[in-house]
Amino acid sequence: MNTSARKKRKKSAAEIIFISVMLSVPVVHFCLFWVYINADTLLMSFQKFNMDNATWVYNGFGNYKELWLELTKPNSVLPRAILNSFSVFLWNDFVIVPISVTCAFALYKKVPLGNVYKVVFFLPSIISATVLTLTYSFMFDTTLGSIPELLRKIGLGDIIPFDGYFGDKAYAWWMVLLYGVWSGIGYNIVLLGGAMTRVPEEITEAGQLDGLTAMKEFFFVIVPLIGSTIGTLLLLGTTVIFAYFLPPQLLLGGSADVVGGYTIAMYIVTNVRSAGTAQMAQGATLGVICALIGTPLVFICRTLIDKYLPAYEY
Amino acid sequence: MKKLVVLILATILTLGAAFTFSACGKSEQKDDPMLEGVTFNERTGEMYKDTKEGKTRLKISYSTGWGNNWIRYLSRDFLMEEIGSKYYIVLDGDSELTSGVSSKLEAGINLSDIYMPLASNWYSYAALGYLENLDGLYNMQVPGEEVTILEKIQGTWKDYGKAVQNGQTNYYIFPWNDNVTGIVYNKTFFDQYGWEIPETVTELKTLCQKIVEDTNGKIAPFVYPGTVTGGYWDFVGTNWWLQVTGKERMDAFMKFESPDVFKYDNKSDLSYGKLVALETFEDIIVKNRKEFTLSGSGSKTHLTAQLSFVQGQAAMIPTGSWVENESMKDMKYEARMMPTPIIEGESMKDENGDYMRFNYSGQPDFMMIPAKAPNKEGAKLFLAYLSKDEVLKKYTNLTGAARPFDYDIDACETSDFIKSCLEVWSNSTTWFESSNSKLWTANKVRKFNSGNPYTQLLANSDTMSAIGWCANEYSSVVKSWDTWLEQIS
Repeated sequence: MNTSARKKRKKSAAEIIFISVMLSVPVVHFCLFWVYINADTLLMSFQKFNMDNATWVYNGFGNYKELWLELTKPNSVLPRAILNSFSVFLWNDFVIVPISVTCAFALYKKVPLGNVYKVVFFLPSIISATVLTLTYSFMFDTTLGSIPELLRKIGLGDIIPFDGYFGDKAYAWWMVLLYGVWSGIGYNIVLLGGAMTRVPEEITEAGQLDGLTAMKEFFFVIVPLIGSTIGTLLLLGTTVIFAYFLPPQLLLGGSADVVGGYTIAMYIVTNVRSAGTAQMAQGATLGVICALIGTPLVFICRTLIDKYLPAYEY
Repeated sequence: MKKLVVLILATILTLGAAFTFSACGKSEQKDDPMLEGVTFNERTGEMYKDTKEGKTRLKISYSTGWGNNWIRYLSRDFLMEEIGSKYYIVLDGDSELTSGVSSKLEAGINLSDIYMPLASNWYSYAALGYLENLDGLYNMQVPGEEVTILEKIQGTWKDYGKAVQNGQTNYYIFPWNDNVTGIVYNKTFFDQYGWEIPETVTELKTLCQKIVEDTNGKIAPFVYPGTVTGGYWDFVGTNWWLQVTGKERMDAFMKFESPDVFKYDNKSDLSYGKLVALETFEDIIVKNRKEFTLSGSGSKTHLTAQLSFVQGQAAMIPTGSWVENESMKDMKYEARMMPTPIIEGESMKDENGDYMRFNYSGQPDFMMIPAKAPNKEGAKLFLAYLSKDEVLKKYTNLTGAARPFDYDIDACETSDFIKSCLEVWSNSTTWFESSNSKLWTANKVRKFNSGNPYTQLLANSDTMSAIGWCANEYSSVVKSWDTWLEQIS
């Protein structure tokens, strides 16, 4: 049977039902969780909630105006929240991913105790974020924690900030970022390690015959060949810009505003959670603005990643 | 090696199966004498007298912050009485209820008959028609007593449960706790060093200096949870504000009739008390934070701050009566709550010339019945039953918490710490934020509108002052007022 004849063959009813059933789940999922959610968010940004009769009414650009006032008022958390959110993206792409690639390469080269390190790195990824943040903040607690105690014992007690690491503006956000390294690299190492083991041994063996050093192997063989995996991890960094809220929420809590620890997502979640339905419109408005900024940013990053980290077939 | 793996897997599977099947069986709690007369299955939460056949289910979901025993024992008492004879109860303790209740109400399926979340914004639940109108319950006579429930309810709670739905104002939530907040102190240290409980803020400042001197800085005067909004200092700060402004004028402030309620310069201004409270806080705590507060307080959660207090690292902590339940079980020292010191020359006096005492309870925990609950009648009877004198006393005995009802709190059998809290409660007028202003219910305007002043003053002690903070707040509110009004119109 040739190709054109196969194309023209009529599908049986059973095939049509099978295809329809299999397609229905992603289609419904797309309609519900993408089309509906986004359309409703856009609509809500031009509405306000009337508490008297519990209805949504048209509000023009009222929510945008209110958001501008919120952004420009004294002690507003929004300017710092925007800065922090973008810093998470930069931190992920320029610190966490490079550290992850380096650690994954070390494990790939079978360093002594490599399996132990694998468990140590991956453990934070499987522990609940609540437990992990609690452990992390307890470790750094000035009067109860082990790290300040250690610093005091080695004569470095003076460098412990009076307000503690999470209560001092100079340290608080850095502590959140440091937590990101601790909790984030394990997952990355698993993905990158998997990609590295797929690199054909013949390539590295041939290189070694030509005097390939570990450093050159890393930069000129491994990194280019696992470029698509690195690219995926870098691209994932753009998604955290507008969604990163749990670590600062759990580590800094109610003091996030005074120690410069807010993020955009934390602002939306806190606002809606504490104020209920009436404030959902403001969250939606901020969400629309994030989408306007975020969409081109994701496309730019995708283009750059495709250009500099192309996928190789092997 | 293979045999070992098989053995481990077999053991895991056997244990898993054993756990699964054991969960299917009943785990009735029979050894608790307080549950005598009823059958209670701890796993399913089901409780009934004799049999549940032919009886209507009454499901109660509650936040577990106050433990489980109080609701079990009071449910048992309800079932043992005539009023509860038609029902069997299902208890559903849920530590995440406060954040999850909105989704449950919105979904409207498998609803419990009563929800008991901790303090949270509930006005939109009422506006959206999720909650049952409780006017009838408020006007119901307390079972076995001569008064109505509304007559028995005290203070701010007489109006706090009201909300607007379709232009009609009705009661939608029911009082749960009346917290007592203020300064908790280590009585053992106070006795050991001969420190006096301060009557005034000047004495408080002197006491802090004395604590530092007497202990050579080893015991800090205060520890506070810096990662909690406001570091719990608002329990002291709003008390000072109340002392200066009085309850009536605080209620006038909470009407938010114009941005002028945020004016602070003159004694007649409604926010003058706020300025005085913040300046007092600034004078005692902010300016002396390195001497008067425990190092690292700015990073502490409420639990780690309480732990530092329990361990004796600090002599005082701003907190509430719940601290005993949360952290003081293994405390080797004795602790008490002190009446909040008064501000000389500023705090108001009553007609007898005595200083007026207040208790700022913070936003309150509450109970509510969903509009679509399957057993609303039983739910109302249960809430009415909880308002009886002897039930209120038993509640306080079990939890150490007061409820905002008129009952003989002195007759309750509690720990010495709780007694000190209840003494503060009895001698004070309890107040918390409540407002029918649309700006408030829509969350446009708050008591503090320019961030939280306490932690901001602590974190920016070099650049920010109390008066500067109040000025910032006032100008920000004036600037936003018209936009807020447009948003709620």
